[in-house]
Amino acid sequence: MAEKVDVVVVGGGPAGIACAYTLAKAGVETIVFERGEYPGAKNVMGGILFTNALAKIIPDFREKAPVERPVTKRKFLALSEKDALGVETGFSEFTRPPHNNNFTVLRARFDQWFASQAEDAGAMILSETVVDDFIYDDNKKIIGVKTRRDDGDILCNCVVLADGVNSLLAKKAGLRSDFKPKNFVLGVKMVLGLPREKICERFALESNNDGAAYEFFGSVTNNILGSGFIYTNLESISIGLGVAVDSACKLGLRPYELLDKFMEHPYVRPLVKDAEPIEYSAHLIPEGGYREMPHVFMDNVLVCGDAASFVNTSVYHEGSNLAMESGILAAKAVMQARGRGDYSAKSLMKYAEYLEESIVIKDLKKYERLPEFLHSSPHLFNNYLDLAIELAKDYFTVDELSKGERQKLMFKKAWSRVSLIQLMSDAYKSFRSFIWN
Amino acid sequence: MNILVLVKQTPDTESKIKLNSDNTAIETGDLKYIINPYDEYAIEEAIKLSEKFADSKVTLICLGNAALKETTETLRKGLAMGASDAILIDAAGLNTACPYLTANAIYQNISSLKYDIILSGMKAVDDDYSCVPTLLAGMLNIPAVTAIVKLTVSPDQKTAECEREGESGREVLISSLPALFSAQKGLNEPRYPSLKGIMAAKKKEIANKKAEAVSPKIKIVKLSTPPPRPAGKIVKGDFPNNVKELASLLRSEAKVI
Amino acid sequence: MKLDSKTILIYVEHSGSKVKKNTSELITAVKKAAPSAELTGVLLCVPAERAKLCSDIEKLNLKKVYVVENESFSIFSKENFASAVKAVIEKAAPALTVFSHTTNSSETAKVLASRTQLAIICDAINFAVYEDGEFVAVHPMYAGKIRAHIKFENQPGGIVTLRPNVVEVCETASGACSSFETVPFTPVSNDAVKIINVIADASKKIDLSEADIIVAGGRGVGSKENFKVLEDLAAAINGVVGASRAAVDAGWREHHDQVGQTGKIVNPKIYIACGISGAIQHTVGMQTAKCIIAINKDPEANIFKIADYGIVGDLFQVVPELASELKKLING
Ligand SMILES: Cc1cc2nc3c(=O)[nH]c(=O)nc-3n(C[C@H](O)[C@H](O)[C@H](O)COP(=O)(O)OP(=O)(O)OC[C@H]3O[C@@H](n4cnc5c(N)ncnc54)[C@H](O)[C@@H]3O)c2cc1C
Ligand SMILES: Cc1cc2nc3c(=O)[nH]c(=O)nc-3n(C[C@H](O)[C@H](O)[C@H](O)COP(=O)(O)OP(=O)(O)OC[C@H]3O[C@@H](n4cnc5c(N)ncnc54)[C@H](O)[C@@H]3O)c2cc1C
Ligand SMILES: Nc1ncnc2c1ncn2[C@@H]1O[C@H](COP(=O)(O)O)[C@@H](O)[C@H]1O
Repeated sequence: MAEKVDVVVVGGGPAGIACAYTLAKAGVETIVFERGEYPGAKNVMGGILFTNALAKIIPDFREKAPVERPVTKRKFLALSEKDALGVETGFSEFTRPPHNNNFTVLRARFDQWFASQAEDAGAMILSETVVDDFIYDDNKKIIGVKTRRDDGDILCNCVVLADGVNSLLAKKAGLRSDFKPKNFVLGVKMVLGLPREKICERFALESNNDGAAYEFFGSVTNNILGSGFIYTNLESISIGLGVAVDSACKLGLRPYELLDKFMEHPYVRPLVKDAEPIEYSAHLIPEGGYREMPHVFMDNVLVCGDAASFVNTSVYHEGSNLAMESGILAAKAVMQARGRGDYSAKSLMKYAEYLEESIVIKDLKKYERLPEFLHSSPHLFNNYLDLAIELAKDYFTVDELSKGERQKLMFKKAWSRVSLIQLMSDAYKSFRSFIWN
Repeated sequence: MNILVLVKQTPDTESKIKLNSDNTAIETGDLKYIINPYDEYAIEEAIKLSEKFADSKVTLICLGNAALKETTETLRKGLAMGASDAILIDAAGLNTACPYLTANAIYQNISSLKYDIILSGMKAVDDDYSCVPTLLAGMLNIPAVTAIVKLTVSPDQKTAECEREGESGREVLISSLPALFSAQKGLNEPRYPSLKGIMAAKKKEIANKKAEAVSPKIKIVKLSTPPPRPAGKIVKGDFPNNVKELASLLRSEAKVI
Repeated sequence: MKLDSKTILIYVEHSGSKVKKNTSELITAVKKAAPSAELTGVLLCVPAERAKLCSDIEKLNLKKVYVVENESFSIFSKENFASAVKAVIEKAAPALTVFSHTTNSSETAKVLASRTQLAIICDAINFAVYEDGEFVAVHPMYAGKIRAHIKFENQPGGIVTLRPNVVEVCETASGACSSFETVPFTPVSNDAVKIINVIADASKKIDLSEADIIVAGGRGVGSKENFKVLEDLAAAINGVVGASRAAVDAGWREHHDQVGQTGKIVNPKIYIACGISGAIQHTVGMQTAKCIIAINKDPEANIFKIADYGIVGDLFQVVPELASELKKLING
């Protein structure tokens, strides 16, 4: 006879651990199954953790958690083949605690720490254990999971699926349909070791308590939908890029080749020079947004984090934050259901209500139009970025032409590349997708 | 039958090992730990024996940093495989860079235990000394057979036949019991713990022990990293010209043929 | 522990009729570290071998050699051998006793350490004497990623084993050995452990860890039968065949052929890796080879990063061709 626990959480990422932590703290018997060698072993993330959700459950995380650097400086850069044009933020308030709740992290390190907090709270975390399937009772109700180990069945009252972007279990449970390439971005990333002083020097950071986050658009992804990033950790930098899976497939682009090229870009090269490759990884990001969200609850099952497509596709790239938030909310819903002794869909519906009231759904709704707009407007990444860079370059070029002559030429160039109508339409759609909706 | 198994936790063999700033120790912050791979063979063999002989008990013995969570994790892995008990001897304050000291600390804690067989790994993949088992057996005054690839205990549990790779071939030996055997690769295939085993192991108590410090016999003065191998060259050209070129390079440049 | 002008005892390893090369390695390493120390030797042999071995030892430039002869030495027993060396140590009181880190000698050294309470440093690759006069042995740790410089602490004497093949033997000016002293010895009969059989492996000519040339094959070789190609190359250049764990786990080779972390650490003059990707666990076992040659069809394979020479190609083409080319060279 298989053993029984209260709750099984599948996946030891931010979503699963936040859920298990919350449950364990409340004394609910919880077991987390993680496929990787340890929590964080298989996780890839650019590396900025928005810490609002974390602060809710571990208020003093800043002293305890292995965060790398606060993000005190941001840059947004458009790249063409050889040139770059960007804007930079430097808000002095962000250099002081709580640092705008933005920290770079290395997931392998952070997830292990986060998991150990959950363990200390009483959750059981079993690594190197894959959950393959559910156990059903005679009424086809889910009453447990099957793991890929001998004697691997375990019964439970409720299963929380936090198994990440390609949640096969959510599909098995009938909560989501087939995976469509257009809803995913493929991210590739490298961690490059670099001494602390060099990082401060290259990114113009005052101390090891400052950090930079650079986002890149344009040629970094071969001008298709996607972006690149460089984030500073304490003694390393994370560099990577994400490209829309469908366009990448269509164009036959290989992300790791793009990454190689990215690192060779004249703007990027001096930033990564002589850095020592430590780790390379690739991972999908669900970027379908609100419109592609699966069902997130059914009898005895909840879904949270990437498995539920809770990623904010905008410039914020927020995933880990929403993952934690949704994990906490799932735990709350489970605790309520437990109080009632009823884990049916009706009882677990509370989860959906919590989500609606939270930043998770509010943010996803706000950017609801974004994925579709971006997919339908490939020219945004092409025309405008290159043009903007060229124009800026023209503007700053010093030669025989008078300023007036030069600017006339610039306008001529601009209008030969985009029509006024097109520009206005794109501006309107961008405005609707990014800012007001 | 009572079986003791020596297990050590070692950094994962894939880990990058970095030295601290004054080259006296390695940076342990980011290290990922595993059971010393040879000790896994020892655990597996012990469990196999315990399955064969009724009323057997397998006790894991580890001298390690009790403050480190990974140390108990290592022992729990062994318990999950099927060991009955685990004893953790705290290494705090002991100079474990000295195998004599390690053996002595283990000796202090097991000399009063009942055992028929002690199993250990052939060597620990961190310090690569391969000395602890022989030194310990010397202290306990029991025979030690190292690097065994096969072990059969007689039905009366008085003797054990084992095999090891000697210089002139495979040696078959018979040892009286109690004895210590250190495990070489090839002894068995360590099992993948069952879910039931893991869950049971999580609930087991690990006994915490201490050892009196004795003075070390050897001391690490400093650590260094080996000089990197200079980059080699790919011999260019099409087959078979590249092979001809290689052959002549081996004679003219490398001077090894 | 300081060595200057003290006695150092060298354990003379031999094959019955000849002193082995690794004995000269010990002498070279010790001489380099402590030029003014007095070198003595200890020889264990059966009476019939004594004459031949002693004349071979003459070349070694040892001041004095303690000879223990006994019929019991015809079969290796670490307890018996250790107690013979112990008897010599009690007589000679050396500051340091040095063994080669071969299978039997290192076992003897460890038992000796446990019997004498002397400190032991196993598997050194180099000796040095620091400015303060302290003797230090360098021992690779963490699969060769780190080297530990180790000294004896509060010890009157110590034991060191030196990895074979890592020290380049210098031809020493032969100052013929003058004196031999026979040390009486009663063998210890070890009732606790008895060797009842030795199954000699006919295919095993030289132990991998002592081989000068190793031709090793990995998963790329594809089958047990295919190893014939490597055996032919090995035969052509007087080498032995080794293997990666992948090849051993597939059952194509015996466990004792495995090179690497859980196999043997080897230091040959030439190591030819065929169809081996160069995983860290493999390379730690062979990275100290003097000349590494890699044959792999994947130009990105890790093995090329540590190889002195590499050929990107199909081993089934390259290896036979290499065999015939090298044969031509060797036969003039
Ligand atoms: C290149 C890249 C850059 C990113 N940058 C950022 C960023 O800067 N900031 C940010 O907030 N977010 C970022 N994200 C997104 C962020 O990584 C995710 O949104 C976040 O990790 C989601 O957490 P999760 O717990 O839902 O899923 P995951 O972190 O993916 O965790 C799921 C876990 O479940 C395990 N698992 C899966 N299936 C099974 C199974 N069957 N059985 C057992 N275990 C299983 C997996 O091994 C994994 O550990 C980035 C993502 C990528 C790929
Ligand atoms: C704890 C631990 C201990 C280990 N100990 C050892 C050890 O002691 N020794 C050891 O070797 N491994 C050890 N390993 C395993 C090691 O990690 C690797 O898995 C192993 O070395 C791979 O063997 P391989 O190179 O033969 O196979 P692979 O990695 O599969 O490489 C095969 C190579 O052959 C090439 N190839 C294929 N066909 C051809 C052809 N026709 N011509 C030319 N090239 C071809 C391929 O390009 C490839 O590079 C250990 C692992 C662990 C976890
Ligand atoms: N600290 C330790 N705790 C328990 N067993 C150990 C310890 N150190 C070494 N051993 C055992 O001795 C074997 C050889 O270790 P070593 O001599 O350090 O190479 C290991 O495989 C272990 O079985």
